[in-house]
Formats: sequence, structure tokens, C-alpha cells
Amino acid sequence: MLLGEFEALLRAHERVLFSFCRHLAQNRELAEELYQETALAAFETMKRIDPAQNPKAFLLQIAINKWKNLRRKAARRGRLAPGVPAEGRFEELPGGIEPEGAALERALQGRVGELLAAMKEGLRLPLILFYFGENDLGAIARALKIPKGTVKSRLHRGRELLREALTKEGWL
Amino acid sequence: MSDELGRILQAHFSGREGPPEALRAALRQGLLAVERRQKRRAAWLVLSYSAALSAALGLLLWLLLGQSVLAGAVNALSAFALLGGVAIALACQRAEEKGGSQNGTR
Repeated sequence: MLLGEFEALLRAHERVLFSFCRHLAQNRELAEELYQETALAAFETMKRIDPAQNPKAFLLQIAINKWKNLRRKAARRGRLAPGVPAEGRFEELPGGIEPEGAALERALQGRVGELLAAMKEGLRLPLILFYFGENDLGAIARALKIPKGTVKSRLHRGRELLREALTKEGWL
Repeated sequence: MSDELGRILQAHFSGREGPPEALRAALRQGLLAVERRQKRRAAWLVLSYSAALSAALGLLLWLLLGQSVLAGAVNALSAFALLGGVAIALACQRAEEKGGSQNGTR
């Protein structure tokens, strides 16, 4: 695969990949660093990218691995503290939301972002992968290198933590 | 997933945002640098295998042509090229494999 081909592939998946990086990093600066590192690493190993397979899953897998390294580095540099609320949520809201409901939905989504940011990485990653879409339990298990049963239980625990907090605050 | 929490989480993760233009430009520079490095590495690989091959041929010629002093000197150089060539080729291959494993793709 040549540079041009890789750039075309990246263009096709850049919105998904960049959004995924933003959800992982929850910080624009770190997300940009993560996106760049992921793309460069993917290009270096592009011999293994088969467009007929699932290049999106391949890119997301690299992003997860890069995030683990970057997180350690960022923590050492003091740019990331556990439980830091999500910064600058996506401005887009799902279609069909009335203007008067939009503010409430934005507040709710902001709170969900904060709760996710405060969550342990082990519970947060399966939730991101699952709700980010197109990831079945098997794919999540492969991406995180944990058994399928562990993915299920972590998804359950993560959802329960969120449900508990949102119910207590009256959102649910 | 069909419950209210599922809907909230799906909405939370539904936003899709592209990278900013400055990041795209910086990434392109990075990709070009990686491409240059890969080409350089491939060139070294070809060069080192050629050196190893020519050294092996030199050794064969020396054995066939009577093992003179001059041929001995040529052979010493050939042996050096052979070892150097193999070492560089192995280093290039290892660097490529290391790149792959660091990205977690194997």
C-alpha cells in the first residue's frame, strides 16, 4: 500500500478515528497527539492492512495500544490526572432534539462525560468500544486482550455505576 | 441497550468530528518522513544483501583461483563486506519487526 492509498484509507475513517481518540483521551491536545501517533504507526505497519478485512478495527486497535503508552507518558508529565472531567464535549447532538430539550441533553451528556472520565480505565474502555459502535463482544475482547466474559462483566459494572449515579442525580 | 441509559450512552458516543486542518498538514509531513525512512531502510537492505552476495562470490573466486596474496587481501575485504552486509540486513529487518510489535499489531 502506497502513501496515497493509505491517505485515502485514512480519509475514509478519519472522523471515526479522531472521535474515538477524543473519547479515549478526553482532552483535545492529547487526542490530537494520539490521532497522529496512531496514523503514523498504522502507516508503518500498513503492509498488514488488508482493505478487504476491517481497516477501521485495525486503526482503532492501534489507537487503543497507543493510548495505553500515551496515558503513561501523559500521567508522568502531569497532563492527565485520574477523574479529570471530560473537556469540550462534541458540539453535535443527536438529530431530532428540540431546542428547549437541547440544553438539558447537553447538560446530561456533559455529566455522562464527567462520570466516564472518573471511571476506571478498565471499565471505561469496554463502554467506549461498545457504544462507539460496530463492535461485538468478541471484537472488544480481542482489542482489549481480555476474555469475552470479562468484557461482559465490565460492561455490566460500568453501566451499573453510571445508572446508579444518574439515578441518584435524577437524570434517570 | 434498549433502555434509557443505552440511549444516553449511544447519544454520547454518536458525535463524529474530523481532525483539524493543521493536524492533517502536520500528519502529512510525518507520513512523508516515515515513507522516506522506509525507502532508506529498503535501500540499505538491498545494498547489504548485494554486499553479502558479492563477498560470497569473491570467496568462491579466491578458492577457485589459487589463493594468491592479492586474492587473500581481496578475500579479507570480501569477508568484512559479508559480515557487515549480513549485520546491516539483520538490523534493518529487526527494526521493521520491532516497529510492528510496538504498534501491537502482532
